[in-house]
Amino acid sequence: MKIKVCIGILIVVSNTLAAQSYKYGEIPDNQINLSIYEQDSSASAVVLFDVGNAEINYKQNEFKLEVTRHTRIKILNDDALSLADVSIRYRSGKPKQKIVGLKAISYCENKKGKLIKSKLGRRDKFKEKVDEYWTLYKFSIPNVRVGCILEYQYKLTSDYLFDFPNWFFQREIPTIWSEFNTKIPEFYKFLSVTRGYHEYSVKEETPYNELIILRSSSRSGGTGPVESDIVRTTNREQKYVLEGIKNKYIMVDLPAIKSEPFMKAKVDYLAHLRFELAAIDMPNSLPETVIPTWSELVDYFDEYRNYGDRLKSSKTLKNVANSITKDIKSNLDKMIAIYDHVQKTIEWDERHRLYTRKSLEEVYKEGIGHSSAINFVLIQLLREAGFEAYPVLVSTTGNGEIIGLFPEATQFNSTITYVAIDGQYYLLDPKNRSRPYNILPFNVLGSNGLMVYTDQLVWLPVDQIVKNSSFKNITVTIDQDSVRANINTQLKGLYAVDMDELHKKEDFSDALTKKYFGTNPVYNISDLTIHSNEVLKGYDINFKINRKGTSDNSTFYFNPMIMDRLGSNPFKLENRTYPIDYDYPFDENIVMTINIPEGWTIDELPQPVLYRLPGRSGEFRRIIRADGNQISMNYRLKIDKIRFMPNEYKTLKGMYDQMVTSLAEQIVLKKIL
Amino acid sequence: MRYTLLPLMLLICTCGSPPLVYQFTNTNYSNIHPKFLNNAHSVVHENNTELVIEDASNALYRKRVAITILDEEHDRESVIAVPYDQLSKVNYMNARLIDKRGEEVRRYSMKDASDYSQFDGVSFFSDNRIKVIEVNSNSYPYTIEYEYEKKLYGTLNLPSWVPIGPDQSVILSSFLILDNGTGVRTHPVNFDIEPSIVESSRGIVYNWSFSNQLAKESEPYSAITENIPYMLVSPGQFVIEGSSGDASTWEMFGKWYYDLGANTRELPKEAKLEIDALVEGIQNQQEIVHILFDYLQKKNRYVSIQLGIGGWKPFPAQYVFNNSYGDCKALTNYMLAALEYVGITANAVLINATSSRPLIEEFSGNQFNHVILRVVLDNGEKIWLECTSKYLPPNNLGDGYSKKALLVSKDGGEIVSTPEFSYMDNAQISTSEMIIDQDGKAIIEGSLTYSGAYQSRVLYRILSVSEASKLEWLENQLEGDTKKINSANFDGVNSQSNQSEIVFNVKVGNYANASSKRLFIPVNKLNRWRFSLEFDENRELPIRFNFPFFESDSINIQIPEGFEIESFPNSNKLSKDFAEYQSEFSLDENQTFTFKRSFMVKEREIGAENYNQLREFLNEVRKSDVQQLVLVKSE
Repeated sequence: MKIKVCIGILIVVSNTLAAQSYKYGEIPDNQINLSIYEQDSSASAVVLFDVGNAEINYKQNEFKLEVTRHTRIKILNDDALSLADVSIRYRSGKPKQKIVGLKAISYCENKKGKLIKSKLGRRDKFKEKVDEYWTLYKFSIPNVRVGCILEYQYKLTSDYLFDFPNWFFQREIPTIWSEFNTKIPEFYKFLSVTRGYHEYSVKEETPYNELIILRSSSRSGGTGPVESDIVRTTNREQKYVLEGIKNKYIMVDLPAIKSEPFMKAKVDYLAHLRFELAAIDMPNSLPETVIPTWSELVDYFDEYRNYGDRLKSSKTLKNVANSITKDIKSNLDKMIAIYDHVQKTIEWDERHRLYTRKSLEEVYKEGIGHSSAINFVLIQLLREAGFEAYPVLVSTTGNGEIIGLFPEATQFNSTITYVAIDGQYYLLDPKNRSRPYNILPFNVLGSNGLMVYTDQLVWLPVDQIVKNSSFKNITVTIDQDSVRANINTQLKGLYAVDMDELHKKEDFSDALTKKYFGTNPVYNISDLTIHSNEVLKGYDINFKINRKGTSDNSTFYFNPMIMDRLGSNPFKLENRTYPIDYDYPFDENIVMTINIPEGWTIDELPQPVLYRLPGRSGEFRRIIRADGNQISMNYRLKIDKIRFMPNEYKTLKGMYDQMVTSLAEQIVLKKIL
Repeated sequence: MRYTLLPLMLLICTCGSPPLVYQFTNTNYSNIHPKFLNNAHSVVHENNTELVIEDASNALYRKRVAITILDEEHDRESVIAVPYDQLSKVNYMNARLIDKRGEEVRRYSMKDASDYSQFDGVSFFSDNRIKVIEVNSNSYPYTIEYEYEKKLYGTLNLPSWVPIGPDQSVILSSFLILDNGTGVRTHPVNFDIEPSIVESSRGIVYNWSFSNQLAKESEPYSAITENIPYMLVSPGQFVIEGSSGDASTWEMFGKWYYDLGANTRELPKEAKLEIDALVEGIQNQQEIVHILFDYLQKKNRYVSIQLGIGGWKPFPAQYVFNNSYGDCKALTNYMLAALEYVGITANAVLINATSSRPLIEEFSGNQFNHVILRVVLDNGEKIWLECTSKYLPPNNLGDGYSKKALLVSKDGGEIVSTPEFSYMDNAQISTSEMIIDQDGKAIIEGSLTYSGAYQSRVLYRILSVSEASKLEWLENQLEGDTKKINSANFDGVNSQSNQSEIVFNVKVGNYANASSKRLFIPVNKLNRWRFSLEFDENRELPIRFNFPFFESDSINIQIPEGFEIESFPNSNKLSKDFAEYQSEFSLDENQTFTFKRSFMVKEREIGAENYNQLREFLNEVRKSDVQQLVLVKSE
């Protein structure tokens, strides 16, 4: 009698790297019986294997790219059923790609334990044109339910070798086995780089050789003026032992990467392998470099018509620069004046772009432009005023991190400004009207910028001079039936920028109330007044809230965190396998003085707490002290670096846990009897 | 009604090459009277829509608009999006961007349009496409003028005319229909304007004009799209991919839809065998329906593939059987076929699933985007089935309750009402026992019960995911961070019953806040009301909830040894016509503290006149829900 296993748990032993990929249609029992993926029991599906082969082969007198992909996925819960709806993208515009040999199938066990196979019907594939170039090949695999295995396989071919694919080992669902094999002949030189936070289990390189017949044709004659000149074409066949390298890359047991707080562009966290065609070196011809060096790239940007070449002196801009700076003495003040002028006269159209088809005069005249266009105007005005200024190429967080190995123009998506003043340099970006010169937008902070300076290759760390800090000085007065609070706030850096944006709103007072108190009716805020003369420096808020205490009015409870209280920990995961990225470092402080009314005494105060992150990378502190008829509170939350690595996750999460608990603590006052 | 004779030359010439931008007059921002700017994010100078129906399968649709966009809130108005499909073609598109000084910045034509597959958010595959010109400007205000023309090869889906949008002022909006004898019909909703009617040699010309309308202040939590004026347009006779019908009565429209599906219900032999095995020996019709519906839900999944007769013709039952998937039409049709096979009467019911516009009963035509099934047993009992859901039990229609819909049968169409749900049908009930220690750690044992709309949400969230992810969901139902579920039973969550129950035992590390002397215990961490409304003196539109509901919670807390009560929360009773709330706190002789809470919002929509009452009511609920019980160590 056959014993049926109802619930199987597949335990993958990673160190015995027994082959985990199988032939199409060959389904081992452990894949059928798998019902929970033990490493991640919340997974609704798991990629059993995903195997890709990218080969450059010599066929029909040409080198062609052939990419095969074979994927097998186990469905563990209904919410993963849509994985059976597959879209494959290919380029239908020129140079064309082709999808051939597409097949898909589902395997499900029926009630009697028999494996039922359902093949994708020939007519159940749809082609959907996305745009001029791209088409989606779409299909829904039939008869899929929980417990089934999906499998599909196809080949993509292309004559255009720049199509050599990148390979993503990791996805939103866990992957047991991901394998990518490449076969590249000696004539082609690729740069490759591995991204993400997962180690290879196998990374092998093997040389290969194969006999090919190179066909070449040459033409002679036909160059003279006489039509009757005979054109001769000579075909030559040459046997050639083609050498090359095969590579094998395998990663196993990759955890799912889902969207979590404190993440930037998702692609920066997924384990993947990227390729870039760098050079072609054919026999009987000169080697051809396809990818430039960084210095060559800088030269290209410097000379390019719609980039560096836009930076030209013009009468208009010269006059503008003169009129702005003529009465100013110090160089720094001149620079600031020019910055302020650009910031106020040219609006940002909210786009990050590199190239501009418009001349600087046009941009200046229209008063609107994209990120680089605005910076070009600033650079040129600074130059007209006699400063040394250059564009700095950057990539915003949404665009992904710069990969140092690939000197590619497409890695950048925006420009900021470098200017040297009195032996010191500044990085500027005037595209937001609320930001003073010394504050950069947070989506470039912490990255590296490439200066468009042709004498020497210069990478600049994009950091900010001014710290981001908020300081609240709060005085609380408790009287018979209410609590009055006066909050004086001083903001610096991006806090000040945010507040300035808020200040532009129609009803600043409403917006500010919402920011700090939400629509929370519990406080019952009344008599709210807000003063703000110079927003970048701070504002005052006065308000009154109802008291909370026992019904006989002998005891009074007060949580001093009337704002900025952390309700729950943003970090929910037990472990994190990729870094925690803050937008920017910050320092938040509250100093509170509470005046206790006459006739009342302190019964209990919350415990002092100090939680420091290792290496002084951050801290949470909340200290409450009594002093006569006053209570003082010191609160600080400080994060000093942008990126925390996965091994720091636990302590960081612990700090937030501590905050949730500590910030709920209350002061208790008692009436003196 | 007026009948006059219109000179022919005023009629639109549909031939020739038109891509010359229509000459609008007076579209400058500076010419807009200030009264139009109040509450508005955009001002329409002119919106001129024309529909020329040549015959039942040929029509032209043309739109010419000049609009000033005042701020970024209405940037969407600068995206000129023209949907088309196999049954229509875009003839031309032109646009002009004009800055606030009235100077032309740029011109656009169809060459500048991007062509996308139109993703409707649901469909995996459809042949709907869209041509889009994005007129970009960041310098407000700016004006765009645009025009486009579409050829329609079928008149079933005639676009409605929307003369004014939310937060918008309109100086002039007009709509012209030229009908060459197809009997096109129109129906204005939320406004009442008579057209001028003119007979010409090319047909009857109807012309509506809507002018000098000022923007109204927008109001949150209102059903704004139901309240703005719009006009339904429906054909009389129509032809769509060679299938002809008549929408002039519900009966005829229903008949057309019925006939489309008529030859698609033949079940393959294997399917019949499976069904026979399932219902063998069962006499009770209700039981048979439940068994077959469960079979449908377990075997199939919903994949939206919109193809054929403009997306109207259902895929055959055989297709669904072979592939185990289908869209709403295909799955409903398949269930219908299965019921027909066992001799039970059922009918497809066309419905508008997204509730933005109610069905206008007196106006027949395509007002639908979804189809469900109504079964009638021999004893007259009706059972409603939502065939696209893997989990909804019979008679739970998700969002489809309390609606007018079109039932189709071989005799034609007939307006019916889907089941009514009252607030008592949408219930969430919790009962729990809590033991709390002196550090604020709590062990809570309890149960959560859901029905109606609550159940429909819980079903998907629980049944479609892994065990670990169910626990994660349960954890999130409780406040506080350091939680550990000791045990949970989700067996009570199933598609067969109209009520779902979850039983749990959870340890919460920081339920209460403990100081050296005291325990601060929030009384209601399980089901705290969080929503509130902002003050508004002149509310005009009703406030709309997702559904009316009833919540009942009770929790017993055992006061730990060595503590006595210092502060006792206040009981509350709030009662309005539209809502009720009650919280009761008590302590018995065994030192068990009890909190009982009931909360109901009785109507889905609450009239504008009650807005501020509702606002205060909800604030009181919030305040009551965040109360704390304070315990102090006994001396």
